[in-house]
Amino acid sequence: MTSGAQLVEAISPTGTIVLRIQGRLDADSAPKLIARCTELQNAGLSLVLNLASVTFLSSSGAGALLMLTEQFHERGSDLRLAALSGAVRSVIELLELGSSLAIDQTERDSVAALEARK
Amino acid sequence: MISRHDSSSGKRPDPWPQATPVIDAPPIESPARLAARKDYLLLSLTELNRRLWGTCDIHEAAEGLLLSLMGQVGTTRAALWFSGGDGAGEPALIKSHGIEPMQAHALAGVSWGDMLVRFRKGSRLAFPAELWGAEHAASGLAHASGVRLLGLLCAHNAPVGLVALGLPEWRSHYTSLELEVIEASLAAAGLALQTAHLNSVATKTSILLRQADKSFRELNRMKQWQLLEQNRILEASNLEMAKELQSAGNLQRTIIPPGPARIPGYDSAWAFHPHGEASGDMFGVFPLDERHAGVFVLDVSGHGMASAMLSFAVSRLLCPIPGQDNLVKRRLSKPPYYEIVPPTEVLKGLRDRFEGEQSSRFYFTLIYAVLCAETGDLEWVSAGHMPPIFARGDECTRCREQSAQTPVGLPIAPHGDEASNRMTLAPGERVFFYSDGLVDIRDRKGLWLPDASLEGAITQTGQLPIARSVDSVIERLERRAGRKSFEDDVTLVALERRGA
Repeated sequence: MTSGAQLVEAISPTGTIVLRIQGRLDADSAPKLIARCTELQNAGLSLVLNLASVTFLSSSGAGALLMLTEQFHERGSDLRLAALSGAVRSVIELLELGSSLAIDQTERDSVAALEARK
Repeated sequence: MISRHDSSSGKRPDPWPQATPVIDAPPIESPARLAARKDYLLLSLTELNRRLWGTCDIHEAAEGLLLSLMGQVGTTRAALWFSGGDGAGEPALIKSHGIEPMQAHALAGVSWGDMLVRFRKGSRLAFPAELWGAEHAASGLAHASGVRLLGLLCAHNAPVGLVALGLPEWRSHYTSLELEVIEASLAAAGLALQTAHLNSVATKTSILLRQADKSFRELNRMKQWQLLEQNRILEASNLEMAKELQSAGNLQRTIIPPGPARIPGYDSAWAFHPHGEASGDMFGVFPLDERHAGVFVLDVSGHGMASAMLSFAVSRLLCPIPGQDNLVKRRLSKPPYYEIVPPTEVLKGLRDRFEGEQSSRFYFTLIYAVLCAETGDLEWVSAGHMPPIFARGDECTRCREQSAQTPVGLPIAPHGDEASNRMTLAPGERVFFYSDGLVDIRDRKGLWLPDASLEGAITQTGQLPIARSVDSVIERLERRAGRKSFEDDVTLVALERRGA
């Protein structure tokens, strides 16, 4: 990802894919996040996005999170957002998206929630 | 008119009272929250502008606009259609999120025309319920697809596309600030999208042109290869033909007299210069018996292999073969057991062989003479050939009134009786037989030498021994033409009666 943002992929002990986003989630990095998440979704996977290290969330970044949530929902898989950073949380609260997104306090909570749905 | 609602005012008019029931009313925002939201939206507008002008791909630009709009109002539903800005009609769907493709297609179909009408009235945004009325089927379609706002994309003050936008599930309205930023976003996006579209078209055109250029180069290479291949075949063919011509020339040279003919009381000489490897000219000087000699010069039309072959064939017929019947000397059953065939009959024999059904597109001229060495009597026939030249010292005469027949092989019939010509060579006189290559001579400027050039050369060399005279005649004519070789086959045969 560009603009100093990085995407780190991890697999939980139970096999759940976790994407840890570091840096700015904006118009530059959002399309690449969408492309990678779509690839993983096409492989039949549900995902956890760890947003603990996101330093900035723009409207394009927020739009990407909404779009991905809808896309995963439409295709019967799950996307959970975990460990929101302050920058992310403030935007989500500003947009009052708490009820529209699947948000967990920690990455472990998100993984557990996905495990529970299997 | 767009119904705008400022959440801070406390009034929340519902633009969609029938189709979109209010699920939950947003709380009245504090000034700090309103300021934060304003900053966020303005920031989104700045980011969008940067994003839109950072790409030359319409799909990337459309995705950037939709993501930004979705993030501005917090919706999962948005779609964008683009017409290309060329007035081509209903725009095509470029991107859609959260809206079924069938619904998106139908929505563009019902809304594009009405949005253009709205545009002409000065507005670029419309709520579906306001546009069609809450009870209208199109409003129901918009509601079912989650679309709560329609906006026109414009470039240079002309509609180029359409955007549909939803709302979060719990909201039924946009704030006035949101509407202002959405309108600003669409205004910024229209021109950027058209530019990206034109860039895409230019890129595609450039790719097509490059492909066309590549195809053209490929075709050119193929043509060049074909040409090279054809040249190679031609060169091989030419080489083969040159070899065959060389072989034909070698064969011809085997029947050229090796030196002066031995005729009692006479000296002879000849010059033979074929133009190229194989010649259409041929000559012969040969004894017919102890007292007679035969002389011929023939000139086959054209050059090359076919001419050389015909020349060779005629020459073989004219050269006597000891002990056998042939065209110039036939056997008899009583002494002297042979007969010298008169020149007229020889010519008739040739016509019998080379005319009629066996004739080809080639023909030849011929002069055939029989010399009686004792008396100097010379009898000859000419088939369209150059007349002989008689010379004595510094005087010479071309025989102007010979009885000349048509060349052999031309489709001219009937020939009638062949008449022969007669002349007597006195001691010291010379006779020259030659081909037209020594008469029709052009100089380097392309001008013909005078008709009497040959006679002049013969006269000028009349005091030289006959062999040197023949060589000198050739050299003089070459010098006069300014050439090192003649343009045609050249043959010159000379006989001199000794004893002047």
